[in-house]
Amino acid sequence: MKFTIVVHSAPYSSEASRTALEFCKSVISEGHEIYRLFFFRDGVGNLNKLAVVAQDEQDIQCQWDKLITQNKLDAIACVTSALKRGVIDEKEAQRYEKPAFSLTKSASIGGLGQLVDAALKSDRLLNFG
Amino acid sequence: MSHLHTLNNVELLQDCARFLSDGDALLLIEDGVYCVTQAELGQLPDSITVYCLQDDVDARGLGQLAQEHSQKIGFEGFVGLCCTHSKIINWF
Amino acid sequence: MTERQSKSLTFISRRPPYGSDNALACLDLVLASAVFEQNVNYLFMGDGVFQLLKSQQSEGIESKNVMSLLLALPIYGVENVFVDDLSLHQRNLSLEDLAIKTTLLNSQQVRQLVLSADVVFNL
Repeated sequence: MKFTIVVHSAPYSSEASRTALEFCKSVISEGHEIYRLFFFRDGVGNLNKLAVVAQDEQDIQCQWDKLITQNKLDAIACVTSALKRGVIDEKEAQRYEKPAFSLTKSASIGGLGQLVDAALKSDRLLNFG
Repeated sequence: MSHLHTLNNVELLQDCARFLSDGDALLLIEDGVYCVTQAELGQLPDSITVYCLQDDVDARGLGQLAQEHSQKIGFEGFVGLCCTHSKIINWF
Repeated sequence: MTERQSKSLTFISRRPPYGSDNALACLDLVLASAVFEQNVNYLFMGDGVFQLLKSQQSEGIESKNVMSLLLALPIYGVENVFVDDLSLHQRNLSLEDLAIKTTLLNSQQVRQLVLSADVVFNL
């Protein structure tokens, strides 16, 4: 089955992004396909590669990055959510003359249309927030 | 077709209950597992199966109560429920 | 099923307009879906009905006026806008208190709307 997963909340401020992460791992280990991961609202914080996490804590951003990279997943940060939260890629950093970029290379920036597209093309859609 | 509802907040149980139908599954996740302490959960019809995410139950020390009022499942079980129900409605 | 072009998308907006970004996030999703010319249903229930109230003046909190944005829904082709009668009743509100033209649904109709959708976004 094709799954699309939408993450609405920031890592660490709620348990939801961890739940989403573990769910995604199981979707893959159970032999299903992830059509798209969509990070919406505070959820874009899961794709911030500049985070520094204490050694005795779970590094959620790093785990998302690993999961996306190892499984070549299509991971999208919602553009309107991401830019205003400082989750930007190299191109946006140049365009807006910002001193750094923070979006993990395994993900890209996209519009809400890509979420609607995913809702139409997936067999199952889940929201975590 | 039956549906899977996930719920992560006790306060949403009432809203969610309005949409539960015969054959539906209600999966309590995160702080939603505290629903096992609510009388309202016991009032749901028998045709609704209540599940709890094991890790969340264990973390909160609710093992005994969860045992009485729900079936504990892991993430593989969660994925399985998504496949056996035609649609998922997430309450958060 | 996987590649079917037409699906019904139902959006449940359950939160008040300004205290969090839920209301605007839901609206943004509704508008994005309307572009895809899908069967879009927009349901207000719970505290979400407060988004529909008349006389919202949000300049003071420097926020977009949610009521004004909702008034523009027909321009985007979003015609199926519904409000849960029970939620209005529980808050001592009636259709006259609302600025937005909506269809009043009883509990059974609300259930039917949500359960018959292919995809539900519940914010």
